[in-house]
Amino acid sequence: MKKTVLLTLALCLLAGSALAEVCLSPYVKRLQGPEKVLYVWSVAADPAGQDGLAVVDVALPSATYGQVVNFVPVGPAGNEPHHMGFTDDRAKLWAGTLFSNRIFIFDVAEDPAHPRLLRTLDTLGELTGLFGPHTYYALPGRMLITFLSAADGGLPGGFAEFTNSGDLIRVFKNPPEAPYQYDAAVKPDVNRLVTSSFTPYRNYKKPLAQWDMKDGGNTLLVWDFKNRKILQTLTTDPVPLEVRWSLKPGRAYGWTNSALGDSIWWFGQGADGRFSTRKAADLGKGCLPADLRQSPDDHYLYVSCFLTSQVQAWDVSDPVKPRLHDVLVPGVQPNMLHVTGDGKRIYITNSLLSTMDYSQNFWVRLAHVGPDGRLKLDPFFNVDFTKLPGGPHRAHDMLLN
Amino acid sequence: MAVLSLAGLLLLGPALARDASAPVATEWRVHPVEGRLPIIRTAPAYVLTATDGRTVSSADLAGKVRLETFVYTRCQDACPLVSAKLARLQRRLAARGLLGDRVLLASIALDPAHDSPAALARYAAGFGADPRAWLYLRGTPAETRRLRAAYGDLARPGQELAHADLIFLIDGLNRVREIYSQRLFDLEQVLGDVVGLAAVAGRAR
Repeated sequence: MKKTVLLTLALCLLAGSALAEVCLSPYVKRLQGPEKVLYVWSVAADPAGQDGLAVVDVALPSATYGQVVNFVPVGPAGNEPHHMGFTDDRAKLWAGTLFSNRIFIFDVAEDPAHPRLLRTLDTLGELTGLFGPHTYYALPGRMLITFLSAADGGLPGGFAEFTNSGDLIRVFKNPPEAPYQYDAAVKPDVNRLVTSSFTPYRNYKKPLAQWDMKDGGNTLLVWDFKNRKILQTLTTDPVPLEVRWSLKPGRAYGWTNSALGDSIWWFGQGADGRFSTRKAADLGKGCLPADLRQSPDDHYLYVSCFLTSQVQAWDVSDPVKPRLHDVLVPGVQPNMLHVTGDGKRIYITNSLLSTMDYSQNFWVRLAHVGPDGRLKLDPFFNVDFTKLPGGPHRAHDMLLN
Repeated sequence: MAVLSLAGLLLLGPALARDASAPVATEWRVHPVEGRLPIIRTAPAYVLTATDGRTVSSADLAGKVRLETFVYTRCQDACPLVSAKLARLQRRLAARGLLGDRVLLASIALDPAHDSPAALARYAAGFGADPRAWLYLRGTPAETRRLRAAYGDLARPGQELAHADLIFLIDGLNRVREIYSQRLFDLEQVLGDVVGLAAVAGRAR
């Protein structure tokens, strides 16, 4: 009996060491085998259309590969679907909206190609005092959701924790000296949570030309994750967005993309236990880095330059001095990126916010990552989101299943 | 000393636990919160059978802190890893004199149709479970489905044994206070939580 137990334990440990999906909470169950469906959380571009969750067939042997095979509407246009995330067991997909302050909880375990809406959280303002759910971060049996604003559309933002079925557990609001909120990422092995900062609803709801560019954060908060206690406030160039921890076990450093600084910033812990930041890469004037992703081997960072229409691959062998490795132009205004668990493919969408998009040509495309880390656009994979049966849609966040 | 500090932290709440110089996030007390272990939900009540034939109800276990999980003996992935971690925890709790009287471990059979009490007892022995403190509990298949669903883990047709590899920390008032992932299980952190909750439960008695 003991021998069997030991053998089983050894096999489990070996299986766990393979490359795995990145930029998801480390608590999320990893996808076994190649992806079959791509969920695209989509904003109706036509005011008469329906916002909803599109399902793209990405199973290579399938006759409908590269096509939208399902669309689950969630209501009339105007919600501004934005980001989404799996629960830790990958059984549910939480998807939220930036203008209507709603979260839709779908079952994706029963039939991954046919998500089923289980519950809508539509009183989040009253329930949490917050508005604009952004990041959907799985914890064991729970979801941590960041919010960009207070319930009145101003500040402070914060985060709330819910059970996987959508019952509120508790709420934290940002402190007055760092009231802006955006992304959250946990590094469990060093017990640190880092949150970043964007701009509140009062600003992002307006057309880009009317934005107050000073109404944005430039802070990262370092938290004692277990105790949900803020330890430090760090500063970067304006509007640090994604928080990406190094994937190496025990390494307490990572990177963020400053949207208005056109830069990547390194953050990390020194020998004294204190965190600091430093500018690590200049992405070129006017890039507006909208998304930042990682390769599963911790070798590359991928950045989408929304305004210069590039996807840049940065070699982070030296974490504080990334080196530009390759540049891909996938089409106009690339935004969200999603890297597969084997690190060989990157799905790309091209809508940021309906108030920020400068092209109406919406798509999902695919880049292949070569053994040399170079990026190549797949000429046969181009899902035209202007031609969905329900009318044109802005393709934003993606998840694979 | 560490026990005392942690118990103090739990009792006094986050305000006193924070470094006075650190920025403070405003916490909404939507539910009463005691420091690092919020009340996540009420743990589902049950009446199950132990491997020695005793009836054990969740009400019987009230007043003690317990760690609860689901296992089945044919499981080749998560269950042996969960059980190995609970075995390590059992040793540490025993060394602190907390095992049994104040802290229990409970593994609920996920596949009662296949796992007889004798099979569960053999499985438990394989992990060195102390039968007085680490209970292997079994219900009917319907009761098992109800229990796991109450924990948010639905059994799905054709994949009834696929389950979440979670361990639930339950306080003396039958409330879930923390949920641990088997994959990212930090023994020292879990031990700190259990010791802290046991101290609170001890004072409440």
